[in-house]
Amino acid sequence: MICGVDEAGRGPVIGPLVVAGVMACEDEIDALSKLGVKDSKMLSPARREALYKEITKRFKSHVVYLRACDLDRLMAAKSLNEIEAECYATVIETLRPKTSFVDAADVSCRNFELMILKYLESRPKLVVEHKADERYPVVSAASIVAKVERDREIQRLHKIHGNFGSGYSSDARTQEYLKQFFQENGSFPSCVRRRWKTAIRIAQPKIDEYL
Amino acid sequence: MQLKSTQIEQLTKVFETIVNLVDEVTLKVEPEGISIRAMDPAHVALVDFEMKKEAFDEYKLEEPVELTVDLKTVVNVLKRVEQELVIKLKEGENVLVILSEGAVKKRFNIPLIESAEESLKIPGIEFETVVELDSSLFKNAIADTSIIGDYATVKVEGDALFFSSKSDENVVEIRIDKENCISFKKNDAKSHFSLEYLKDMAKVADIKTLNKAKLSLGNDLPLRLEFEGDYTRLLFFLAPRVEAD
Repeated sequence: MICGVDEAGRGPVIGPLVVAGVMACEDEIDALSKLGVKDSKMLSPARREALYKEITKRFKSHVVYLRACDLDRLMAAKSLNEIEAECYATVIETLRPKTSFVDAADVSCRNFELMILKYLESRPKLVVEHKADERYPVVSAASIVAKVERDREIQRLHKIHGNFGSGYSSDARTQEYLKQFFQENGSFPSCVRRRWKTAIRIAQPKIDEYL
Repeated sequence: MQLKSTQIEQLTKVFETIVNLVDEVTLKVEPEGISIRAMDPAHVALVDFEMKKEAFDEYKLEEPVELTVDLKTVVNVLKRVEQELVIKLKEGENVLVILSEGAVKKRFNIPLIESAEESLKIPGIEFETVVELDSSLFKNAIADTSIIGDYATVKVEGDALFFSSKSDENVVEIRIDKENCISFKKNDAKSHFSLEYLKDMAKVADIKTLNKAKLSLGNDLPLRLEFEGDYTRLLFFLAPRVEAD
């Protein structure tokens, strides 16, 4: 058995980081390719949703979530890469494949491989590469699962906290939401990663306001 | 213009503290002394530095000048100056000349930069809480606090000054009683500040001549932090962080 592992939501200031793994037999890879799995970023949301249903129906998968507050807590002691490596290891440990294909989160694939190995009890073969989500159908499938799971979580958070957009700092709606919320409440809602630069910048007013 | 000084260490260290906040500064040279006023690029902190002409061994000035320089270069140059420092301008050119008049004569030419900054105001807040203490006490409190968190709560409550920080379950609280302060004008006050900035400002405590720190506080107001020595004053304003408890 082989598995692919990928994440969604590493960068944004709001919402969880989701790491997903999808497991397949080697002779099922063709079937997976035929489904039309691709890097999740190249698919429309509707197409991703449809593929997600097919993938999770036909293949074993495992998903790990780190909420914003978990990330804030963990990042006091570890780098984001290290935290991600630990999640990847949890997914691999749960699925127990013979070989795991992993999209590298670190600039150095070797570094990332060593980080994951540190948290693994079993010793599966690891193939750690950049753009693994474009190269290996099983990683594409994992990227689709992670992305859809994160999007669903974002929908759920919108219902609780109001529409904050995508949660990415580049999203004007996210920026506006954060500023307004902070101004009104003097703090951020629980879905916000307080250690992210965007959040820190908003929590720190400028001296100009007192001149 | 020609300024001479044998007190090189103090000036170098003051500039080193300022360079932590801002790279490019305008040094004003006026009849009563030299001064720098600058804001960090993120607009969170403001520094106001003054050194009276009496602090120099020679202070010759035909007319006031404004010298905009890359402060990092000036600091690096000052560190290489031995015994006597001479600062002057190269006639007709936008070049600052720094001479080291030790046994070995050194000359550094530093080009002046076109100034972009218009003149800065400083906050005119009337603070009701002012605490003066040894700058080493202040520096230690900041060092202790920064082990735990990213920002510090600075408050005066009753007869003591408190520095505290927390992250997750970790908590630190430093209490400095009124008896251990030089002066203590109290009124309960509490604000939060980024420790990244406080750590940089606390480095002033290493300058022997600036061994007293005066903190002025309010409720969710900027911190006014003043270090004063003979003929020298270094003043910081730091915008508070807003944090719900």
